[in-house]
Amino acid sequence: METLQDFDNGNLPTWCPGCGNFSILAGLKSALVELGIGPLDINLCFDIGCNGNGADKINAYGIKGLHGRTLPLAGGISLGNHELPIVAISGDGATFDEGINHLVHTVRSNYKFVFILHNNCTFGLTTGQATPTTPEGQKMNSCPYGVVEKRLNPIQLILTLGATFVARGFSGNVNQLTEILKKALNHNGFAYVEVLQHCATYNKFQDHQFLASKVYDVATDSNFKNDRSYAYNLVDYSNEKIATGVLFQDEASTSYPQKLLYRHDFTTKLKDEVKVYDISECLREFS
Amino acid sequence: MGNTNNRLVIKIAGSAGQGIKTAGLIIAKTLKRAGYMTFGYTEYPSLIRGGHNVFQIEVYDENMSSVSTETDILLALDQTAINLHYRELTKTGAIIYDENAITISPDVLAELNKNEVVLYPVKLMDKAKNAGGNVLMKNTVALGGLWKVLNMELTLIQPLIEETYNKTKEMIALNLKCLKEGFESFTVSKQFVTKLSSKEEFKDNIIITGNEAIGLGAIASGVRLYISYPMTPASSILSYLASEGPKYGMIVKQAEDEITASIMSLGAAHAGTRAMCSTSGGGFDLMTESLSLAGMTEIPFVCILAQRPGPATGAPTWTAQGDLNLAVFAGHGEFPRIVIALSDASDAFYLTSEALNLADKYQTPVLVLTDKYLAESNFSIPKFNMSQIKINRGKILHTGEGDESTLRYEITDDGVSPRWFPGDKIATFLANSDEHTAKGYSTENAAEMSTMIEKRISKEKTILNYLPEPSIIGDPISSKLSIISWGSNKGVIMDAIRQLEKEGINVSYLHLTYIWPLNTASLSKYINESKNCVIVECNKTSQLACLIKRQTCLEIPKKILKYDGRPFTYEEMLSKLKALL
Repeated sequence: METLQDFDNGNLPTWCPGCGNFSILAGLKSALVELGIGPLDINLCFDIGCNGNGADKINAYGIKGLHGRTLPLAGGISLGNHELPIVAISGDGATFDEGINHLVHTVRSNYKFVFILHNNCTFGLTTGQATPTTPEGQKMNSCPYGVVEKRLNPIQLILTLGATFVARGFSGNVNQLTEILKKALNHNGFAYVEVLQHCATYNKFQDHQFLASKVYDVATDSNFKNDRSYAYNLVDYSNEKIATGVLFQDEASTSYPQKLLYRHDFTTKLKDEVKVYDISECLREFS
Repeated sequence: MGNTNNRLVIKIAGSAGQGIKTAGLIIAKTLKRAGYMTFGYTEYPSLIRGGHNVFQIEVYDENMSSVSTETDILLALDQTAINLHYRELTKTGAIIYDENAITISPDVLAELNKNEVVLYPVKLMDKAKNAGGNVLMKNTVALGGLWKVLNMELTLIQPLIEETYNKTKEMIALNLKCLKEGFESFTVSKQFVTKLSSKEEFKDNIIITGNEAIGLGAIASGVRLYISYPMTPASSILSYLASEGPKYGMIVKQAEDEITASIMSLGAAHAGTRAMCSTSGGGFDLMTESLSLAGMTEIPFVCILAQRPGPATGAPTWTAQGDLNLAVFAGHGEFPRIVIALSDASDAFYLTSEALNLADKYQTPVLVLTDKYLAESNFSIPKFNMSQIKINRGKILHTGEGDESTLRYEITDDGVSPRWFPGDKIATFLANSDEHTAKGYSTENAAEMSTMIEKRISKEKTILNYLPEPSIIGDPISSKLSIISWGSNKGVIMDAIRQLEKEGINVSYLHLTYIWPLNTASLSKYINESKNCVIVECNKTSQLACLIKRQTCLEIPKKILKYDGRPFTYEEMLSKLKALL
């Protein structure tokens, strides 16, 4: 029986006091424990950033890769072992700047893994630059005269690409996040879970109070529909309130390996298939 | 009559879309089945239609594989073919050309007459139509003519026509008719005679390109995920595996870019399977950070680097050996890697398998260098022997063979730590791109940082002790000339050496397959014992010579370099070697 303590490896997080990462980590551990997934049963994939600094603060199989390249890493792992629960973790800078190309194709490919997107609208670890999710006009470390580029809307972007599971949480509501992550871990495809959090040190413009006053759970909204277009409009920046919860899910989603007809008769994982294969038949074509 | 060097050279040339490659392969395969050794070399520009395509078939009765400067029989399907190649014809050679599309100018005619070249104008389009075919079958008509000139039986080539055009019964029938039309309506004015004799031993060979052989090596050796971004001259590995791999359940995925291809390969390897990717120089540039990640996390990584002229886009469809430095030095930071250079299609199969074993065993990146000449030429080689393929995954732990105290990056004598995979009931670990402890957790501690660097670098010595010595033929002490080379030059060098031996000239040759870690002991001995040492490579800055000097402090005094996108030809190599005697 897994417990929260199982995931403790004695290393204390190094995040700033008040950082949203503490509760995101707590939500993740709770979700795993409640689903009976232990440290040896899961692989976590980390990026470089404050969120990535949590890589060695949790006892689990993990890989901490290159900045912006967490998604293809998780994608490759998911193909190597399609039965392994995988959670990839990254920030808004890594995902929408350096690695946005990978996001586009990960959504299109629908690999089976959960992606926790830490969205604090800044590059925290490199001391406060703007990212594509920073509001226009906001003054940041590398743009002291204000952000010039148009603000990117992550959920609208991935809905357009055909994402099959889109959810949003808030670091101030661990219980909701835990429930979202449990659903995400059971989703049959790429599960995008964005978590709004403030950065205690570099994001003064969307702090905890601001977010807490804006967020609401769509489960409490009787008008909510599980529909792509509906979700697209719901998350527009012009809306007064910020919708959270599972915003869209395609229950009929099939993941990338399931779409490969030539794998349908295979009951094994690629991991267990490394052996000699006789290619003598193939030589006829060259004879 | 024919080429003086115990070979026959048939060249088909025309524009893209005229079935040059198809016709070339038919010729090569038919001659192989008739007991001749063949080698097929192609040239083509970077476009889809038009341009100028060439398929040169070298025919021998010994185990040879080099390209000649001269041509005995030219099949010219368009005007450019004549313009570009008429000077290559040997004395009393022959040109079969499309009379509908080509005119031979008086100047060209005069030159050809001086050389006693026999001209066979054939109205290819008319003959194709006569046989009920269309413009696409002009090449088949030309084949019929060629067969008549060679004085060979139609029955030899008919099966190849049937196998090649097997989409529909109608296609087969039409092509056979075109072949027959081309053959029967052809009048040979001067019988072509060659000194070549057929040999039983070549009949059972396969004709295969380097890239196809690499693909088969990957399948045979348990690669379960192959992922790449298309880039010439590596793309045909992707297209070959995309159709063959799935028959064995291999997942073949075209990635959105080279960074994805390399990172996904690492992810899949971290999960416990075997993965492989391939690219050319420019694409490999993009993979260099991934290479660094592989070195740090000690996850096996195998990448085929198929060279073409650079820098930047360079000449996509031509050949070069200009990325040696890239393979040996790419990737920031210090970490061990293995660099293997393939020399022919046999290597392409067996050494791809070996590369996968080395990557697993030493938990290190293995880069396999090839080039357009090797990747896309058609080699005639013995069928692959499956009994030579063994899987070696190194120090793998299974559930029960470790516990929570087992350390993924344990410091060991040979530098190689135990390895296991997520999901295994052993111990957790973090495969960390940060500098890390033996558990994988990030560290900035001075002693721990030094220890890990030393551990990783110590693998280099372990690897060097395992790798085989370079292959050396002859003895530098008693040779008039001592050659050093690498990659696909092997074929043409061996052919030149064979001729020199016949002329009583003693030559030695050190061929380097394992470029890194470099076996300095063997190289130093060879160079020091040489009276007249020369390096042969297809780049301008003599990258291998510089690498050897860096590691041994020994200068190789003479260099034969080529960097025009073409391979060395037999005549070129022979004359350049003789000039050094």
